[in-house]
Amino acid sequence: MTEIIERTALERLLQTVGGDRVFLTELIAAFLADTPKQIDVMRQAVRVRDADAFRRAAHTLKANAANFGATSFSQKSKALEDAAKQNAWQGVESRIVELELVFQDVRRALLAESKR
Amino acid sequence: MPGRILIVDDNQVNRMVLTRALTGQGHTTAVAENGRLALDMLRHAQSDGVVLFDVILLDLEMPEMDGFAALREIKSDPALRDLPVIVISGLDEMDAVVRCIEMGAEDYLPKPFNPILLRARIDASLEKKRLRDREQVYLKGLERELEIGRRIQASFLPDEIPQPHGWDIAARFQPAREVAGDFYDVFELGENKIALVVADVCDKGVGAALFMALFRSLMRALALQNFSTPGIVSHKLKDTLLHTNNYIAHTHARANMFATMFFGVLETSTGELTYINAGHEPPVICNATGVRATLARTGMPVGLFPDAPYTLKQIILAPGEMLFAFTDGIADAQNADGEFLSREKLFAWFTSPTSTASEFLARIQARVDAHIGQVSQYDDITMLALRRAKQIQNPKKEK
Repeated sequence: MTEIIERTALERLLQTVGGDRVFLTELIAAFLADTPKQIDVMRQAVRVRDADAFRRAAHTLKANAANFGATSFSQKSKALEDAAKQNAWQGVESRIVELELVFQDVRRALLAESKR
Repeated sequence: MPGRILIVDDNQVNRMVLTRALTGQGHTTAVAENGRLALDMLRHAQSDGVVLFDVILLDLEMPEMDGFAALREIKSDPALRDLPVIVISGLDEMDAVVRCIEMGAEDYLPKPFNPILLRARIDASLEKKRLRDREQVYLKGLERELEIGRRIQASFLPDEIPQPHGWDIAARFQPAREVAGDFYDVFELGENKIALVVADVCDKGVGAALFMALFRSLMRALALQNFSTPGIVSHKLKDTLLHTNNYIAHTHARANMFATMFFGVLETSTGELTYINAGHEPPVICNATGVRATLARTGMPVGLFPDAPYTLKQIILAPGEMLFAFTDGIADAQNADGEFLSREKLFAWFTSPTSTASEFLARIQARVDAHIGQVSQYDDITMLALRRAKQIQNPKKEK
């Protein structure tokens, strides 16, 4: 089973914030709180075919996920971002569902990290 | 070395990470959620006359006003354009990064953040800014020194030019940007005599201005002293110049300062001009038809060798004639194509009559300026015109 969270990326993030584990916990909390909101934005955007709003939300998810080493999640977000750039709305809704599922795994893994 | 950093990113996690990372490295930070808010912050500070930040970290993908638009506004605002901007981007956004750098962004920082790179990029940017600020201070210091040089130079020119009966005397002085050493002097010697000096101290800068003050003072003091006692004009004239020459050549031998100088004494009742031309651009005497005599060099510049040989000459200005003395800044004036003005061209302008010496010089100045055009003036331009009135005036008997 491939790692949900890439350890090296998370370590690098920890290094970037000066090794402050408490702060890392805060960051994780922020990410976990923000992600469902971004997913909602994407859902809304699909409904009204707002490519810009969709793209920005996907971009944010991609970037944040990469910070935390959630590579699979990040790649899926990037794929959605690219789709939005080309106005390819086909099957987007189901891909959002897929993204949510991956997010559940990411969430579990990061929460476990927070408790270390 | 701590700096003040503005973080512009709509992503809360990014803002948190960067703030923590940078304050951890000893910097002060502020955040803005998008380009519009960032610009408001920057402009607000600017109107208070304060520079709030040393560097801006700018994310590209933002709502309300994205990174490009913000960057464009920053770079087109003269008050903000010197602020270094580092753009934050994903590795798949290289095209966007390149465009930003073309628009004036200083560097980029890839996401996700690498702590080593972050530190390196920020430190490099702050260092560059520090050096640029230091350079500005240095240049301002140089400008102040030039200003002092110019003031010294201006203070050693005559406030008023004597206007003896039957004569019209005018002078014009236009200094170059770099302080140079031109000067002129006109002063009364008593007994219907006035002294004329037009000179060019070698070199430029504050040193030349100081020597100009010295030359001028020596000539004045010695001339006034020599002419305060009875005696032959030519002896006193030569003595004045020789003493000045010897003083500079001996006392300031190491400075290697010298000046080309035209020094003359005019007998105002007769129009007789006795002079020495110490290596100076030859003045001319002209009448209605143009140049009728050139006062060639009669010795070497002043201040080079002690006891240098100088020859005296005499010439008479007839009524209606004019003496025009000047420095080489005029004939050597170059236009954008590198063409010199030249003496020939200068003298060709002498044939149209003007009513006063002052008007004559103003017209010459206008033509010189037209020739130089947009090019900055390289050397000082100094001109002296002495015109003898047309009708023969009965000289007033002076005691």
